Amino acid sequence: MTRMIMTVDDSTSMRQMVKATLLSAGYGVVEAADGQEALDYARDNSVDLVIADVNMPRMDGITLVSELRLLPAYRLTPLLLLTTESSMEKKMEGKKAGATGWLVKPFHPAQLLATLARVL
Amino acid sequence: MSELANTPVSALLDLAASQLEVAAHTSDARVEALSNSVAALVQLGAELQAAHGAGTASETLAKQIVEQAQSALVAMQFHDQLVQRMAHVRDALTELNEALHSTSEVDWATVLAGIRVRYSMEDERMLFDRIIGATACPDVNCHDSTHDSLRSSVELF
Repeated sequence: MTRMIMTVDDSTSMRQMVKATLLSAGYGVVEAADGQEALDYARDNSVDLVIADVNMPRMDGITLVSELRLLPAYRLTPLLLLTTESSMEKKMEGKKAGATGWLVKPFHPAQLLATLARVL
Repeated sequence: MSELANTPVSALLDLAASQLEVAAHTSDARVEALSNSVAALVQLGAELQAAHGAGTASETLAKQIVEQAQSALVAMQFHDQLVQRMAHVRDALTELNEALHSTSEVDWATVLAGIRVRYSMEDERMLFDRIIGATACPDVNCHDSTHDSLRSSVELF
């Protein structure tokens, strides 16, 4: 069965790049433009992994992680934050919120796929 | 209010912030089209690779196409970074302009700390610290670059 991954980023081009990487490896992909859109989707649908940006309008990636962890279906789902944000403080916020990992942009497709293989 | 508020300095700060906004978004549609094309190349290359037997010349060529397209994907992410950097400069100019128009005495350390906290990239903070320095921005949260330098591009918790 195809594993579904949700990519969450307010940059359309970044979503396209993540999507292309995932599709080329055989994953199914769902896109969301911000945390709120992702959360709304996750409440009614199931995905196997979430890759979210941190700084986004409406709802940021760290809040999204916190909110997803409150949903029983997402308590154990791998939630990765993919961001240009590099401060240790933010990273610790992400960890505390329940993120599975922190990836700094720019990402390399092979590196992203290797990370997915480790957490799925 | 600063006496600079009624000089062209304020208008120029406003102008610079607006020009940065326009510059950042003028290229958006084209970069989106470009990223769509590169993304399609990655996908097509992967499909070609899967369609040909391992070790064949076609499979090798398809693999090279995927590798080249993936390199392009990495390079294109710098546009996303550029847009973010420009947004941070624009916000700094706007905050500076607002400070010039403040009716109460401006606490410059707070203004500077507010500008710095918006940065998301390590080199932005380092450049800020090098040029603005700790004297002008003594806030304890202003100087955490030592931690940043320890970061890894992938960290699983």
